[in-house]
Amino acid sequence: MIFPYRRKVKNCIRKDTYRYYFDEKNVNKVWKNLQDQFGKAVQWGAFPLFQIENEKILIRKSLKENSFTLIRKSTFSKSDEVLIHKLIDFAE
Amino acid sequence: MFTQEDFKRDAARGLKIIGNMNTVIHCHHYNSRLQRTLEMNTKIDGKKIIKEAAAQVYFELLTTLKNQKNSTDNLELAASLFKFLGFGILDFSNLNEGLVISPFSHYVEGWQCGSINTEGCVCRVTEGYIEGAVKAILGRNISATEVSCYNQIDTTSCHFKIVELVAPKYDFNITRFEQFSFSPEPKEKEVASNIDKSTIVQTIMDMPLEGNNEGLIPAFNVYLAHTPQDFYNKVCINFIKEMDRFGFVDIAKEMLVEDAENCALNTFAGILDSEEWDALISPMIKEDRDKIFGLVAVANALGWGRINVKEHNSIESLELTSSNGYEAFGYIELEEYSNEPKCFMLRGITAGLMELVYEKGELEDRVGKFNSTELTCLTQKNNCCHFLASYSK
Repeated sequence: MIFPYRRKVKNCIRKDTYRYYFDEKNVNKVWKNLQDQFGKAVQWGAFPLFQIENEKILIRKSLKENSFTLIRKSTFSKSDEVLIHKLIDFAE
Repeated sequence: MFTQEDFKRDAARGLKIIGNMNTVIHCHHYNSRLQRTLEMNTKIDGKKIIKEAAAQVYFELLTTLKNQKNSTDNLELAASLFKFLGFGILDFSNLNEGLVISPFSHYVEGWQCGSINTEGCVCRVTEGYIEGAVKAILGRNISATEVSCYNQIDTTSCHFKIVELVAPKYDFNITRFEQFSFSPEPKEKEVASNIDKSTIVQTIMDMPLEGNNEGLIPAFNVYLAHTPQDFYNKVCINFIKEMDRFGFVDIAKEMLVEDAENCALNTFAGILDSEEWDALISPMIKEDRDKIFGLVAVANALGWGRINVKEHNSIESLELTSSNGYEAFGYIELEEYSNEPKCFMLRGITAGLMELVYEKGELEDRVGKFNSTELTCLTQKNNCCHFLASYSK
């Protein structure tokens, strides 16, 4: 498997909901970059699940997984996607 | 205005109560599919059934909450509840000019996701909600009609035209004067698995599932919404009654089963593929059959009542029991006892779970691979509802 990669989530919240996967050794760096840009992740619920949220995006990550799910809100735009891909060093 | 503390949670019975009503969690797939089943049916007026049920139920819920919260006569309570429950955003500020606006809608998300597209206005529940809310809070009789919907191309928000009426359109009554409660105590036992069911149920029940800045609840890869169980029961019972008038009662029941079967496939597929599943339940999974037990545990946290796996020894069959399912209790409350089973949603869920976990291929191709029956039902004065899904050979 070549990291990073993404796949579309089936039966999703909105069309174009993707789950992004990373090499284990890069996960912490990616997660830090996202928090530096969008604010500190907070635990959601009483289990190891964290999220970063603002008006445009919701990013959820299970603590032990080398992936996160990006949920786009209504005002999410192409430029937001470009920014996120830059932060996580992702290209298709 | 609303917080998680407004919910009274009963993990043992699988209940989540607000304003004396038990609320049920379903996702945008199920809610829009159920609506489609009623509205695309040309024999009956499905739109009226849905709108009337919403108006009556939310009138009662908001009347109770207005009293419990000593709220003044303003519609902030109604807008806040709509958002909290996950239905979207409602702006009542132009009500006196005959307009209510909704920039976000759970139902529009449902209709736009998946294979049930339409170009029409789809916010029937919101129409009923507005009518019930204005009656409950201001005492005014109105009609709310959606005239544009962001489900339509080049439309960015939903607009509802408000017309004052001289008399109420529906019977508006308060039926729940005390906190809703199920009885008797659930007694059915679950067969052993690697799943810590009680931890899952309690954890999900305690999750902060409430509307975000868009008034939506994205969780487990779907949009969730809390709906009073009375709404679903009124809608389904009245749908079957109407279909019965035309001789289609058996078809109506099977349509409701199929909606739930699709719900199980789509909603639970989303759950299995979610960060939430990976964080909470995946670490408990040791073999495929554990997924069934994990998903049933999730279902127990959705306000559907207490559901147990009675038997699951083969990939070809599953037996579930429910000692307090909302469909059975709703039926008994509204119609009293029956000589036949009435839990169409849980019946469809039983088949859908098996098709999801053990079948391969596209989800829509798996529908019907398992047959489901409800062997006994609380409505028949049995002590539990008992469901069997078996492979369709």
